[in-house]
Amino acid sequence: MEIERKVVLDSGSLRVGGFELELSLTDTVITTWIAMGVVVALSYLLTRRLRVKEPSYRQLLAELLLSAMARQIREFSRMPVAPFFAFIATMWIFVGSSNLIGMVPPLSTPTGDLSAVAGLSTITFFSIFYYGVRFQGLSYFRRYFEPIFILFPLNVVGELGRILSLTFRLFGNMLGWDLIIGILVLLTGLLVPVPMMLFNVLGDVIQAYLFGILTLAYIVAGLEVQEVRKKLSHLEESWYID
Amino acid sequence: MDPLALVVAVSIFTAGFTIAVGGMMPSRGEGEALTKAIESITRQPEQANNIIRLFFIGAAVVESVAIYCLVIALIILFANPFIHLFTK
Repeated sequence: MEIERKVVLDSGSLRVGGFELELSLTDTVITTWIAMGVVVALSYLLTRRLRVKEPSYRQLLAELLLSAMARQIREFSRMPVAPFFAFIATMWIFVGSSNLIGMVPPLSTPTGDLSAVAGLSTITFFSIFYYGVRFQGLSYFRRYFEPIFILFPLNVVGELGRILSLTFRLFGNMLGWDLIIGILVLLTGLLVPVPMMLFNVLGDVIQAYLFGILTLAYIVAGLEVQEVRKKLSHLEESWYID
Repeated sequence: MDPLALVVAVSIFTAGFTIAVGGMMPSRGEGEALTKAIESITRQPEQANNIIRLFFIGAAVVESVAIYCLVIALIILFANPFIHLFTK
């Protein structure tokens, strides 16, 4: 039981300026590649031979998943989903598959590694500004000087704190569950940890959902919904409404 | 007392205390939120989807405090930054 990750390939370190870059390949990277491979293979298999009339079961499954995700985004943001759908759905699928791949015995959960989760929340951090500037221009940054400009440092700290809590939530949950199951396996027999592992599957899915929906919440919180809805009113979306 | 033993003893106690207090308070808060959510769903069943989604997000935000405590306890137990001062 350890928090440090196994190093698969160590090629020393590189010194750039004052920083030292570790050029080592941990098992997180390998596991993430495997998870990505599984997702790519699944999406390839599910999207063969698509038909409008008499769709196959695989096509129905893919449509069900995608429209359920789109409806969630729609209900949460109350805006057309097109600008957000690709990003948030990718977050859901990627985080979900990375969480679940840890259940396969020789692999360890890649999202139980702080660096991996920090990378994901860095994407979230910059996407907040991307969507803000895209929909509202540079006046988006005005909200950091509200209600009064003296509070600017406090607003910046608040922004960083949200990202930090996003990171630690996913990381702590995944690592915590892994440790609980590890300790149970150490202490008890073969079959006792199985109910905990089933709970772990539920927890994995909920954490992936939360990561995506909180990303969406942070993006939407800074936008003025009425304006964005007016700007996006030319989009007519009906594909996900049943 | 040998300083290493002291550091180890204090670390173990602190880790347990951290997770005890940090687990108790957020779970109380979450329980209250859950009570309210169930009450509101019985009162307005047509809003159940909205309420459940808001409850999950709120519970996750509350739970992050407990997760901070878990991370701190894990750092104290498995990656204690002070223990190398006393081991050679």
